[in-house]
Amino acid sequence: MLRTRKRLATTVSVLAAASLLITACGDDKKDATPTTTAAAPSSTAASTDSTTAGSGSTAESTAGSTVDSAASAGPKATAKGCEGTGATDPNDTSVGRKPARCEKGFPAPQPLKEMTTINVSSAFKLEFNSPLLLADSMGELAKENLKMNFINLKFADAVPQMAAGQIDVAVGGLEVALLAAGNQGLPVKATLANYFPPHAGDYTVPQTGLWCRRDAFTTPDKPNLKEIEKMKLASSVGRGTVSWYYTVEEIRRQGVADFNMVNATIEAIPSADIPAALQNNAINCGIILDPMWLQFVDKPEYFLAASQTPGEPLGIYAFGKRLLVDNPEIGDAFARAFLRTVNTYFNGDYHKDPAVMAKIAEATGQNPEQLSRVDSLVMDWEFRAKTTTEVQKLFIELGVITDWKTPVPEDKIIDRSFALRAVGAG
Amino acid sequence: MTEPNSPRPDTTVLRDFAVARNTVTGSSVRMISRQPTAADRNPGRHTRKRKIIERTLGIAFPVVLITLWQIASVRGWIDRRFYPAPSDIVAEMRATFRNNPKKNWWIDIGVSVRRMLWGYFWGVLLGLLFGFLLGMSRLLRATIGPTLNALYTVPKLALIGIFLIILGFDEKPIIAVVAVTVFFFVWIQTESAVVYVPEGFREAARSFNANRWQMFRHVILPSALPSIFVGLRVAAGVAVLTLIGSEFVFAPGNQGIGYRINNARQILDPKQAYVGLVVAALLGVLFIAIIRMLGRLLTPWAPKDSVG
Repeated sequence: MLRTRKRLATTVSVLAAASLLITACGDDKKDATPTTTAAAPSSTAASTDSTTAGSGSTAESTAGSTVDSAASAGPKATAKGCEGTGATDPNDTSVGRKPARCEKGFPAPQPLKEMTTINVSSAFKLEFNSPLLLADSMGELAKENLKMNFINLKFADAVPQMAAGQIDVAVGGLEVALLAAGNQGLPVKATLANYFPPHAGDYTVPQTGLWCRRDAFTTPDKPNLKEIEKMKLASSVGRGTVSWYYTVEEIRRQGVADFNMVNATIEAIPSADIPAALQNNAINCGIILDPMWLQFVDKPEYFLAASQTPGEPLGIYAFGKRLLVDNPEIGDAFARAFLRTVNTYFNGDYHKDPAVMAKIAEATGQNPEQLSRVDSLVMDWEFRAKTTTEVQKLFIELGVITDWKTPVPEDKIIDRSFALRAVGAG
Repeated sequence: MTEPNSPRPDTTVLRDFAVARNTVTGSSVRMISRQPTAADRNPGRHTRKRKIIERTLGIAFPVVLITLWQIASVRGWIDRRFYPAPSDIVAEMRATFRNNPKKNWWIDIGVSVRRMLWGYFWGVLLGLLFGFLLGMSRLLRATIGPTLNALYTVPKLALIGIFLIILGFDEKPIIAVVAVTVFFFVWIQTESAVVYVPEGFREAARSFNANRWQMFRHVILPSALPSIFVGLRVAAGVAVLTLIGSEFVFAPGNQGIGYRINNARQILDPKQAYVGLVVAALLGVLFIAIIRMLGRLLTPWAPKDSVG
């Protein structure tokens, strides 16, 4: 009896394995690439007859409004509250450039027909992505009938999920994963930028950037930045970070026109450990983020060699398949909520607004004192025209990108249409 | 004698029951007769057959899994771009190791193996030392045991930052993390193996006036060694896991299998990431197999399965 049962089990197993193998040898030409048949989204944000948006009560004291300073060239914003100032010329990369802005509470909400949940991923809850967090906590997403489901995930890991429609929005940077998605034609694009530091390009003000040991240079009193080309450097992700883009750009802007990093030794060291590595002379220079650079401020043996490029946001909010292709009206609603949050709570020196700081502190889990140790960021939802091309050129030069030799066109990586429609310029 | 209401014995062994009458006392007794099974009738043939079945199942299971994966991928049940089919991974591995000098994995494999072996060496050395000492001394066990138990639960990857600052930004922090992880597995298994050496063995040695060294050399070590090799085998797998995880966080010289996998994820090159996973898995299998073989060589008296 037992023997019969064993024989039966063996026979069934063999038959099952054989049928699986036969099936596996079947049609393998089925294209798994999602179709991109959705029509271009209609312009949903141009109408100006909306009711006054709830601006919240905390934005009254925000200082230094930039509404009056939109660039004269470029797309013209026509949505109520954004007229003339809601978009700037993407070719403008001047130092001191003012970002696009609308009035507080604008662009006005145009709620979706039914409450819609969007999956939003980020590896961090930090100040730089606090507009996203406040859009949720201050009810700006709810005004659009949107509900956010926050997922803690690195950007590179979120990209496949976005392409599959599982994650709708991801916070990240102009990373190789995004560029590769553009190169592969995946339905993942950067749609909104995030910020640039207020004093980027001003070397009298200590800030995030490439910090170096003076004694690593032949003339420590007057370091020759060209020498960085052959030094040992570190960032948290090694070679594949956009930090090297601003490093190269800024060192060239400081007079070393032929600077390149091809021969530099670049290590990947966790960002929290880079200051220690610099102090221990394990590296000559390292990318040091907020607020870790504060420990070097009063130490003349260290100096800031390169800050982020002025007026050029390098971080992104990317949309996935669902918002880009399947339901762009949800993407429009998200963009309106995001822009309205920036205009309402992040206009000017928001660090001076205790109510906003309290909300940021609550959302990020930091205390307001910690946050106030560095300057307010300049939130900016617009990308500059040259950025993706220049970043790709550098990554190709550094050997980070090996799958393509010439930069992928910007429109495969960035989709400005959501922001433009939100301000009535699309 | 079987109680009247006791459960029926295993029918695979006990084939027949009979009730007989005791001629002396006149009481009825239950007689059990056992019929020989196939294994009893032809043990050699039975063992060979069992081995064939076991080996077939051992091979068939992963084959079925891989086949299912292949089907899911080619049929589009899972997105082939991000979860490549096994055939894609094999093709990518072939291309990687043959053609592409820029993706030369051999250097990374060499670097990772070196880190793993050093970490394993130090972890095993210290683990054996502490395991024997604590296993043989109740006082030491009471003194150090609770502290080691507390440290055991600390996530080892979280120690990388501390090791970076203490040991410097080179190979040592990675080796230290692997060593610390391996240490705990070896220590626990060794201590337990020594503690559970049967008292009868010790008693017999004492009756021959064995001194401490003789007790260790001729009783404790041979008795504990098979179990220790189980720990070494588990620690070998854990060493690979820890190494790959550590190289995700910090990879000196941008080298190592973990760095390769992580980098492939960063640049959205899933095929290369899967190549890394396969390489890591093969490395683990190979390393465990070597430890298992060593175990069999060094403990020929142990039951085969006890050392793997």
